[in-house]
Amino acid sequence: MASKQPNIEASRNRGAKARILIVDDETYIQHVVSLKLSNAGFEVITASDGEEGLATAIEQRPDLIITDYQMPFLTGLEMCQRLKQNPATASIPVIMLTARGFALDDADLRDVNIHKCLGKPFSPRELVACVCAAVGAKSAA
Amino acid sequence: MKLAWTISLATAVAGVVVVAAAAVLTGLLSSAAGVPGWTPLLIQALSAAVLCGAGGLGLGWVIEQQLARLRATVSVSDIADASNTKLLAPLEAIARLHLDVIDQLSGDCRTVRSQVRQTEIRKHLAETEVQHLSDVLHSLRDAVLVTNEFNELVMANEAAASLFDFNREDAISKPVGKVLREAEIIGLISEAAVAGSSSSRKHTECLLQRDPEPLNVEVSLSSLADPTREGASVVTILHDITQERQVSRMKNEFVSKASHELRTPLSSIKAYVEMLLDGEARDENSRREFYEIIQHEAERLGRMIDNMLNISRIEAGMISANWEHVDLVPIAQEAVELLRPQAAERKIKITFQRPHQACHADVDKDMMKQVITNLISNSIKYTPEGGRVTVAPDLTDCDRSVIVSVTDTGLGIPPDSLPKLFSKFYRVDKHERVAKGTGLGLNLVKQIVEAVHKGEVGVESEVGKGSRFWFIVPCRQGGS
Repeated sequence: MASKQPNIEASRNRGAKARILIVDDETYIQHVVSLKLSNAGFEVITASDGEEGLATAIEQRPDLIITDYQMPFLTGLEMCQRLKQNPATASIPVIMLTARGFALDDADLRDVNIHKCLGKPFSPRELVACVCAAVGAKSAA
Repeated sequence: MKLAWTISLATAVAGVVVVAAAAVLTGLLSSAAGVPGWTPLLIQALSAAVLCGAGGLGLGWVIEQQLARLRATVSVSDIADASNTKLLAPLEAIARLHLDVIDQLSGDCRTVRSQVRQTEIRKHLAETEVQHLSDVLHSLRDAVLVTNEFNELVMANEAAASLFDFNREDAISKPVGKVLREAEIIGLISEAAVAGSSSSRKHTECLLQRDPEPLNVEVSLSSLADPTREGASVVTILHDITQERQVSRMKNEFVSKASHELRTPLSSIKAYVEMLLDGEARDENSRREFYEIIQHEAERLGRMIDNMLNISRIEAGMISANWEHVDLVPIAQEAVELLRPQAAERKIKITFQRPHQACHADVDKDMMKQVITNLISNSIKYTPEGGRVTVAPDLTDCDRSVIVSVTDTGLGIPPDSLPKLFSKFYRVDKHERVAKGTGLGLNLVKQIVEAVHKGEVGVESEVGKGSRFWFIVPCRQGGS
């Protein structure tokens, strides 16, 4: 993950807690992921669609974003592309949760900071492991 | 004189072989005209033999030899002597030979005539077959083009002329490059014509630019190689697969959307169960909340599956309605009462307008209840707090149909969304933030009303003011 520049500085300055932005239009998914990550000691912020996710990311500069793919206004992928275009958010790594994995090909993923794609239904346990790995990779870098 | 004339005519018609013999005979027979020993049979035989060209060359030669000998041995005085055996015997021999020739020839003639007849029958059969094949080719919906080794059009059926927009009569014998505009097809045909010495087949797909939509065609090229020639003639068949492609695209979209919709509640269920197993719910309240979410999402999943199955059953014509002639007024009222709590939750006033008369129709009661429930539930979802929803059943169409309308003071639907509103999985973009939905509810309404009840659904809407959804079902199914 050498190419993914760490954004951990912000969280270090805030104290050790990494800030994770969860973007999903499904309330229950948003809720369960938030709860799992809070329980795992992360600071959690949420957004309910792609547009709100983009605005929150620019404003809050999270250390990592977990986003759904299929959402109103902006899809998860479109949101990632916008984030990549903005120097302030270009380096934030993203974990994508998607119920349609086949909609994403390598070409789509190449130009954005998607660290990992997890297919729905997903395991919250596995998701936390991915988040730890991504944030850990950032810490190490 | 008659005899001389006959023989002269015979001489004129006879072949080269007999010319000499005829000359001799003419000379001899002219002198012998009055000879009593000359029988009509003999003379006829001689004439006919000469006329027939002396049949086979072998017999002609034999006759010539006989005549030559006769000429050498017979004198004028011999001819004067009617009983002169020196003259009669060889003449009779010659006559017999000529009769043989005639027999042989008439036999040959019969054979030839029968062969000609057979050939005529064969020709007629071949012509009928060609016509039949041509009719078959022209009746095909697939376009067929036949080109020779020079890429000239040899045959094209009507489907081909229509697909490529050319006149068949004008196009025949022209280079295919001048008849078709599609460089890709021309290239394929030229390639197949030089493809090699052996006959071969090739299948490929092409896109033909047409108005208003491009056409997907499956192109089959068969090269018919002729070892005596350099190139091959090519039979090109173009099969329009645009519709198949569309159906397959729609099917893929359906599967993709359906699987996405089904995975969403399943994800919640799986995640919350895992949370419970991992002890992530800290207290009894949290656990209870998780159970309720799991139950809610399992019900949502069940409803989705039911909707999908019902739609696909109706589409496949596999659903059997439980027909009853019932009043739709109490059915509509039941649906209103069922959804009243949901409306109250959002401070929406729901009004039931009772008509003056009963509204009986041949319907499946459960299906009708589902239709009305779906419409009311939609209206509640997309009407802001404090709004109104009105449900009104009534008779219409001179009391031959029942109409049920559901009117709301909701968000309204943009005009460009109206035509797609009843399509499977369609959701109005701007409404996605307002409420959850699968885009199946209205499609199910349409299927139940139109496919099962032979009725009609419709909507009128104004953005910011509200919508009126309605459906009409005939009072009597089967027009009775």
